[in-house]
Amino acid sequence: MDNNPSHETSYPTEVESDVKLDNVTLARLLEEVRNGETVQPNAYNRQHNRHNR
Amino acid sequence: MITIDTVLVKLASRCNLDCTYCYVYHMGDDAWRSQPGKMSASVVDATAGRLQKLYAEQKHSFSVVFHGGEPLLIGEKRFENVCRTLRTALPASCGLHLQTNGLLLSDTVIGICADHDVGISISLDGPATVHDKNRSDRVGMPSHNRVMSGIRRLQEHPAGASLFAGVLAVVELDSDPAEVYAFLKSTGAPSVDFLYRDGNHDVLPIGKASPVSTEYGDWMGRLLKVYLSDSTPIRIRVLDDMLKLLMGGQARKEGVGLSAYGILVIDTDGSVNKNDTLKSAFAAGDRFEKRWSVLTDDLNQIVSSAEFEAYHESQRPSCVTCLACSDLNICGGGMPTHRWSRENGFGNTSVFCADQRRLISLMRDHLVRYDLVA
Repeated sequence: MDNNPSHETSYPTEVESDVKLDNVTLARLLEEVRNGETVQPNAYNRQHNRHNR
Repeated sequence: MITIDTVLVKLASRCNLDCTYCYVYHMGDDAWRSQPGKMSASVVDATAGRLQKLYAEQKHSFSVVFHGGEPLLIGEKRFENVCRTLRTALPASCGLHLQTNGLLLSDTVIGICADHDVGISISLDGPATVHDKNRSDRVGMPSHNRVMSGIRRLQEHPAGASLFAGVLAVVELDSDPAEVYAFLKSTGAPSVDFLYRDGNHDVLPIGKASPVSTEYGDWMGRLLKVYLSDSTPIRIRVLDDMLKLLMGGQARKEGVGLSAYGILVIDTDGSVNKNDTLKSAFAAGDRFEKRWSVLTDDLNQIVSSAEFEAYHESQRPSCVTCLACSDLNICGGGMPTHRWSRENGFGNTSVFCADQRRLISLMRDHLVRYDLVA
């Protein structure tokens, strides 16, 4: 198990160039994946805004 | 050394609700009966000191979650002391967080959370018809109206929007996912997370006909469809994490993906225990053999011990079916407590294996349309 994965992630070329993905949720998630971390305020992560799981 | 990212601090061992599905009170573990009702000031002080030292040595921020029972049963005055003591002991990078059923979410409590930057997450299963099916108080009265009053107070507070982290809902299979999602969104919550009913291979979760049936996966699949159709969505944490994994990203939720997570639980008497959800597997399933306490033991030494490392290692699925599964990097083998059977211990697939594989398949169907599967 890799605690801090640093592997390269590849995305399909056509999606990379198509920043106006017409699905709001998937566009946001793609942006977060590209950034390597959640960047939106109020998003859950394990240091902030946690519940028990 | 193992990195701790979450510390559950049990401020109260009792609850003012009597939810039918609660893993603390209704799944065979009675440890709460011998716990002090509320965490004392001396245990709070010891907890703060131990956590301060933990942070100094691991140099990695963690989240402290005030939990129970119902944590606000500790009382407003003591709650203020807890928040002040921990906020003083820990850097701002360590999040403080309250997981509450919302019944005692008074203006005073909200003000305390605002003063000490304590995020608030509220347990709410959906509209009254769904929520009150399982979440009654100790005399059998429904709780939905009181929870909604607490949410309204939070929303009306000047700091409410920044404090409100989201709602936590347990899946009710008889409900309509579209109705549940629409209602939870209408509360103004920025985020929602869904939990399955706890269970294992010996005691199937409510609503599952067999380990190979997909009732939860089907329900979540319907929720996924609603979620991805919403042009102004709130966040659904579990779906986000799984979708991001399928897109080649990372997850942060326990029981999803293969990233390691480090959880400590401190009970009201100061004892240090394993992830409390393990109570649902068998009585005292969350207990270490060594009886550690913040009153007597250093957390770094606990985390470095062989017994803690073995507990930490147990989050990795070990059964051959999981290890050979193409979806393992998405589901992560689920939560350890859901893998339990008397026959094999935790060496099974999750009891939700078929559900998760069904959900992952549906997610792939959606992502393929956008060519987003990594």
